Amino acid sequence: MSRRFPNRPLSRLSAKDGVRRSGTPLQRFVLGERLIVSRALCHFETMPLPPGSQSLHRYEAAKLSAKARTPINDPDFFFDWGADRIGIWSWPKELCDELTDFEGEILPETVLHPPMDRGVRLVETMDGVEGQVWRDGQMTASRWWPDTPAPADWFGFLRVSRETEIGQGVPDPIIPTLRSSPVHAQPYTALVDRFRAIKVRDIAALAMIILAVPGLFLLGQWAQLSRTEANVSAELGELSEQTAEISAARQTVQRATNELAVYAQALNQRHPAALLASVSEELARFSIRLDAFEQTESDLTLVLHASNDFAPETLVRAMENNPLMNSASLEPGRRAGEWILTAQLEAGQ
Amino acid sequence: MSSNATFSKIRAELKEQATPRAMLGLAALVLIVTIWALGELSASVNRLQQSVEELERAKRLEQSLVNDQGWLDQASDIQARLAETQDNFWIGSTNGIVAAQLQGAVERAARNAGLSRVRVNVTGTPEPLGDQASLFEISLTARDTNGQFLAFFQELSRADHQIVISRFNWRRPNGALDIRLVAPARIADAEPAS
Repeated sequence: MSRRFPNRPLSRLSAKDGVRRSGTPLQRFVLGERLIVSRALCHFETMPLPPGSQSLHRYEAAKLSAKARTPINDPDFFFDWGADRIGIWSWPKELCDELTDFEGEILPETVLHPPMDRGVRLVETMDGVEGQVWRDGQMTASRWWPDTPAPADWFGFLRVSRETEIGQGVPDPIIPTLRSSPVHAQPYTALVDRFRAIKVRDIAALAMIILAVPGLFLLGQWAQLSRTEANVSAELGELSEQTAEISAARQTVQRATNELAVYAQALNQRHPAALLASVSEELARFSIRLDAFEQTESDLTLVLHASNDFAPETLVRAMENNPLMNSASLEPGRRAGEWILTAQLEAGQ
Repeated sequence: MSSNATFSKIRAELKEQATPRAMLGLAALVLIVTIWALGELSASVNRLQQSVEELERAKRLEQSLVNDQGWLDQASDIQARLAETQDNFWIGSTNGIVAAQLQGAVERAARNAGLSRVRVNVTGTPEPLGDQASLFEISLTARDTNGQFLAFFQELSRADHQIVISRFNWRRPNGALDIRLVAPARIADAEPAS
């Protein structure tokens, strides 16, 4: 898979020197490598664009046509998609077989040459010189020679390429400045080949990254938290030494407070004498006799004896208004004139 | 055989055994182990985070304590209050001794109040009351023909130490009196209360 980093290692595959790789293996792995294949090793042809806009069919048709045209047995291709023609670059795939751990893209060197709108030129290449014919910003013919061609070869090339402006002689070769990317962008249908080129090792690498990212994140968090924990522990230790006496006093206060709260809960009971006095006062107003008095921790039950003209509602109202009790209720007892009053005691003394 | 040769041999053997199925199995194994390790790491990070938060909380507390001398004053005040409260508790070296003290005190109060047919029962095994005391429960049944329970209340308030009425049941027709009392006590090696 190709990677599009601007500063990726630029390796060269030359007919004379073989492969000259640049960058370290790690740089090549991380940034992706660009391998430029010498013009001497490439075959070039052009053909008209097959019909059909940027369709997959057209893309596949161009590839099939390119395979049929190239004289190379097992070729690798680069397509230079112009406005109405395709430049087909092919080279033996086996040239790159020996490259170990290759991750990147392979380009013929000519596609990185600066384009011309129209004309002919002789360009210096890795292993020799290349004659180029350009029309409408698209290279229509190319021929490579190991050295500057003889006039006969040059004019033969121009004649074959049907170039009319043949000039006075063989021009001086120019030294091109390589572009950072080919002149014509690849159609989006070329993405299909990218996906097809995905290998198991690519998927494995992706899976490793997917697993490694949260792993590294968690590891970083763990390291940071460990350091924070150690720092806070140390600070806490120092502070604890400073506050030992105060901490002890605070604990004493807390223990004693808890102890007093427990005592209060168990021992702060409402004394029956207070309740009895209050109830007796109320009952005396109604001329009611108190026959029984039962007080528990939270409830009060009175057995009363009243005359016939006794108004229960008035007594219940009076008891409800008593600050020592609430939820008073009154019901008749078994015997004549007997009433049973129950109420809940207010909390606290 | 040199180590290089051994290494090469092992490598060759491994390469031979690295069939697609074996590689798939190995990948699955690595995936499972990695996911498990990530889970463990995540749990460890969470634990560490909680630990750090608790430490930070403790640190903030300690920092607030550094300049707070009020605790020292409060400690002496509340200790005095606690001691004052506990001075009112019954004290004895065993539960039995305290129970006997309570039995005697309640019977004496009932007798002085003029209650008849008095029956006093003190629980032998008290309930714990906080960390330093125990709570004894006393039940008293008696006959009260003329409202002597009011005198009994007064007698209880004159007891050597604290006795609290927790339940009170009085019936005028038959003069039946049923009272539940509680008394706090401390079991300690000290002079028993008189």
